[in-house]
Amino acid sequence: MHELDWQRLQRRLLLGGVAPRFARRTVVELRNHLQDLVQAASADGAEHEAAREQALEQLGDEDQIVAEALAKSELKTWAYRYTRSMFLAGPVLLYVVAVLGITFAYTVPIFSVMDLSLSEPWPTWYFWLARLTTWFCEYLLTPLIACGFCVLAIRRGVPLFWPLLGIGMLLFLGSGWNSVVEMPAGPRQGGLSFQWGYQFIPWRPVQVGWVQTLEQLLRIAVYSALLYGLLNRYRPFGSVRP
Amino acid sequence: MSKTNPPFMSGVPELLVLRLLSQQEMYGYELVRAIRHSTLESISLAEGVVYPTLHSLESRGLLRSREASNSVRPRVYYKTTARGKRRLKELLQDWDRVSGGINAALGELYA
Repeated sequence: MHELDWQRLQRRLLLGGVAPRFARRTVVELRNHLQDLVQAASADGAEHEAAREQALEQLGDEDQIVAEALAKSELKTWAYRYTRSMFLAGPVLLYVVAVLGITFAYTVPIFSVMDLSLSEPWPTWYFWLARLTTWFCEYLLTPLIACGFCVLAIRRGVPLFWPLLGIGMLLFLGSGWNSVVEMPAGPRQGGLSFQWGYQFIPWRPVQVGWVQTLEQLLRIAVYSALLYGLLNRYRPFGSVRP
Repeated sequence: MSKTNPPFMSGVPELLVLRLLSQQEMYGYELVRAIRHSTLESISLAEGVVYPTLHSLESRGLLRSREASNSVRPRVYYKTTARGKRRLKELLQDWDRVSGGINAALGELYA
């Protein structure tokens, strides 16, 4: 007697790019449908085993159901339908939006509300918040976004070429980015600036020094090692293929 | 030049589903029974494949669904939306056009 493996069916749908809510609902509705068919066959006088066998036959096999679902592009996730745009531009765009959003969120309200000629010292907690946020944006945000996109690509079964290219661009952008926040103090107004750069040519003075560039390259190496480890170890669906 | 027909030929399940669900709200099992009954058992399909079709029509806004848990098992009921009814009208016009053409051709062949 052939049986349907519900978990495997759901994984195959997910790996084929079907949106999680449709994959889940397909399994739930098929299970209920099977029970209805068994009940109907039993009511017609079939033995339990025979009723189940007949019901499974009427329901169709796993390959048919998966093929039908995968043939419908509207059931697939946005990430699967627009792989290139999502994974190539997504990491970089998300990084820029996140850095700008986080930085403006903690500076602009304070700068606009506080008196710019304030002579009193700023509260210590605010300095710590500023330092922590800058550190987060410079060191943690890039690997977090990169790992997020890697996990998304693996879970959705997306071919890894475009995600890796997008993540490579993110690493290059993210490791060269600096946000500089200057607090208003006395008559001096507060300031907010963003810098990006590398120095690969030693005899041309540019704003970023060699030590900083080495640190940036080290950041790229660490991020790449992290992603390599993730790509090698993270296998959400084992060996199941759609 | 007249329209080509492949989309129409692959739209038969869509036509049947929209038609039946425009008359009455149903869940998947009921719908399959209704298809078999209304087509005089001439259309026999692997019943499980009706769900991807239902979900696809729902994601295109042609059907809406609601969950009901007052029966023995939780059910997802489907009904044709206003947009679905407009689509049904188009499909029925296509059907008339193509079936009229086929009937004319068969009429000539068997005359």
